[in-house]
Amino acid sequence: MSLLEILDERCVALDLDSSDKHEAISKLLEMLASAGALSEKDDVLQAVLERERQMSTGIGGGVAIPHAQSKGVSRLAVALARPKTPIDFEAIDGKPVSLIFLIVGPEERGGYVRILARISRLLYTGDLQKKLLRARTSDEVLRIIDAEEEKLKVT
Amino acid sequence: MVCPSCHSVHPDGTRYCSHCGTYLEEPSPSSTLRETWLQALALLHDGELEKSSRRLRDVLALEPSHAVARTYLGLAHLAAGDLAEASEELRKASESGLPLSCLFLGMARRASGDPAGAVAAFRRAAAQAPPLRFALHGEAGAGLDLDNLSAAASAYEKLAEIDPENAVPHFWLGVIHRRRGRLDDAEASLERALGRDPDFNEARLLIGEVRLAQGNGRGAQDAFEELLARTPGDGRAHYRLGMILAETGRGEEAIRHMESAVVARPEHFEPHFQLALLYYSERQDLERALGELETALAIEPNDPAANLILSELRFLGGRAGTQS
Repeated sequence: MSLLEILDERCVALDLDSSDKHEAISKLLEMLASAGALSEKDDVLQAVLERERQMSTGIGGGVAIPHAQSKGVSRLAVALARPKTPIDFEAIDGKPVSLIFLIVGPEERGGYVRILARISRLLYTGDLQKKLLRARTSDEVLRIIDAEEEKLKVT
Repeated sequence: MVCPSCHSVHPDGTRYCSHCGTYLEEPSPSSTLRETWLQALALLHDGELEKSSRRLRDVLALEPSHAVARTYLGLAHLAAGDLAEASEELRKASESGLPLSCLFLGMARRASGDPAGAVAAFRRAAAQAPPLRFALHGEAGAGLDLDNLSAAASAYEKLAEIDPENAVPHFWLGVIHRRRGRLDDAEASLERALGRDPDFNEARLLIGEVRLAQGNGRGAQDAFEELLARTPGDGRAHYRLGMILAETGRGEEAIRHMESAVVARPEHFEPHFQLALLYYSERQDLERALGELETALAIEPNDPAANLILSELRFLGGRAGTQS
């Protein structure tokens, strides 16, 4: 499954207005709920925040990939946000985060791990991060991801 | 002195060949050049590079324009790994216009890390003697070294014309088209290569990759399955099939192929990593997933994606331990 298949254009927020990671996660979940990916948004929020309490998903380099499995999720889905101003995510390198990928998956299904690996691979092997930070529209974001995933197929 | 019958070398003054018994006459002054030349060749044949080089220099002292002797001297240097001396002698020899000198000069220059010089030498050899196909191969290979895809393609196209039944030029044309992003042309060239040699595994593997890049997953799967039918146990085909099947939701089949890929190519990072992901995503088998991930990280300790997944699986393992 590609990232593009589970990232709805409605779940991309450029210039996300939020002051902290709790608020950012909550807004991303609202987008996912509007896109029909969640059945119980509050349960999912609790699961994501619980995961964050155990260990921050700020992986360094200005990127965070919060994620969780929950029975409140109806299908594997991703939301992407670029905060208006970088947010403190208690990242491993202490740097504020300017790109957030939120992954949610149904309980008892491990597919989100493959998406987590794919996002990580896309971030570390290509120019995805740089290009996403420059993107102007949601549509452009999707085109960038599509092109980077194509490159991954060829390598 | 050299036996005229069997060409074995003997100390000067020997009267009979110890190999075949032929009577060995003392060389007349007029036969000295030929004798020395034959000795040099016999020594070269026996792998006596230093002694042969000395004799070849003797030949060149007697006849400085002996381009073949200079070519062989260059070859002796090439065989001994002395690339600078080889290039110099072969350059001098190539001035005579001997196509083989140009060919070997191209080889020496390519081995010396001078692909531009190699292309020039190979091109000259091919121009002087079109049947020297290796010169075109060399020109194309050195063109690829230079990332000069047009030059390489042109050489392979000539080869395909000269030798229409040879699959190799079509394969490389496929490689070049793919690198240029011309996927349909790549597929067509690779089809031609396979038409000439159905057992050309590299071409079959590449055609599968080209079809994947075209978005033709079914065609790619066919190519990899055909490769496995012809070469069971090909780890690369198992790996790629595993990836396709995982993408199309056939997790258990994907696991079987990825397990075979790991067995066939245990030293490669990616199959272990993908198998770890599959064990967890398809079976929630945390223990096996962690085992494969640890193996992958032993191969590529700094892979960021694998490290991220390792920390995630350890987190999940810790949570499972707490819950149970």
